[in-house]
Amino acid sequence: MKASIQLWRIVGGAGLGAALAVGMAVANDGTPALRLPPDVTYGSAANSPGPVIFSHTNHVPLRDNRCVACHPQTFSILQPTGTITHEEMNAGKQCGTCHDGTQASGVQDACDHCHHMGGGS
Amino acid sequence: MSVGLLFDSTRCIGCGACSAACKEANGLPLPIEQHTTAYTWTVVEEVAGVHVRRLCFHCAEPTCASVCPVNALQKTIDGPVVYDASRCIGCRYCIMACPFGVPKYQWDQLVPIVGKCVLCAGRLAKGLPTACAAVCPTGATLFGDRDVLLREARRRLAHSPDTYVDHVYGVTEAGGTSVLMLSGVPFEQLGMKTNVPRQPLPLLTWQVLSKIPSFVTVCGVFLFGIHWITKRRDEVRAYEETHKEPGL
Repeated sequence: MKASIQLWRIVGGAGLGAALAVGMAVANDGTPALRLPPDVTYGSAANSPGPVIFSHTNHVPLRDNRCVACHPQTFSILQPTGTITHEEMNAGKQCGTCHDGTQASGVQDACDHCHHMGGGS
Repeated sequence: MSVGLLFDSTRCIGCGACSAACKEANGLPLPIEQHTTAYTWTVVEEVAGVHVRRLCFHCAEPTCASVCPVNALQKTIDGPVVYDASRCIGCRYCIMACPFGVPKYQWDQLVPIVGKCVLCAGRLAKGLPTACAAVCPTGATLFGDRDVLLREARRRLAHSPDTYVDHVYGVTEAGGTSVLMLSGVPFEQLGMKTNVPRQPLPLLTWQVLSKIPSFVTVCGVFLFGIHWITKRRDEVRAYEETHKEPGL
């Protein structure tokens, strides 16, 4: 228990320092700067046309800063998302929750909408 | 020293990431409700255009733990006020006692328990910050040593006096809490209780309870004395009546 307390002191101290640095960043219009997770690259499966790079920056404003639109119902907010498949998306899960062709572009509409067809980013 | 949270309502955008992370970290069922319940331990409410979090303040001397007859609620040395459902007998005294109205009851369950924020005590034991602070995208919720957070809060007040109300909520409320809050508008406008006593509430009952052992002892001796005198008087009277000298 004592070791764990020491651990969170170190981790917490570093985290607090970083958070304070980020927290001090305020946009010109007075709104706080968003510290969004970095882009996530989903490696392509054997039959995939290319990797998919998910960007929070592209998605969050569409949802009016509502993190709860996707978390935690569709995607974990604390753990990285594992494999994403078209089978799941076609069943209205994962990206298919919104990308159903009505709320947002469908996952079957155009491969290059999400996949980097050249194989790289 | 113990840990805590600093919530700065001027930096909260109401994204709900804290609620989502809380649900996930504590295995609570969805959906995320509008107000705190036994299943939603923290929410962001929008009041007068300001986003404000609702959660347990984790008092330094919590009334809920003080009144709990089975120690189901306890203040840990690290800061969190934790809850052990296996001990709870469902008396709901904690719900009545909390000056902030935090603990909620599972009214829809056959065998209900109480639900409230436990400051992610399980994550703290693993060296992790609280889930809400870990995911906050604006730094509105910060996790750390309470003393460090308090210094940061006071630094903000001194640095931006026009931005904030000149008070750190949680420094003196109910004798001090592990969760501190800053606001740009008066706290009562955010629906927060500003008439909470400044002293630890268990002190009120302690002032009475601490005197009970002495009171019982003194009263016991006094009543025994009266009983002894009365009994002795009766014995003397009875003796005198049975030993009256004839002819008198």
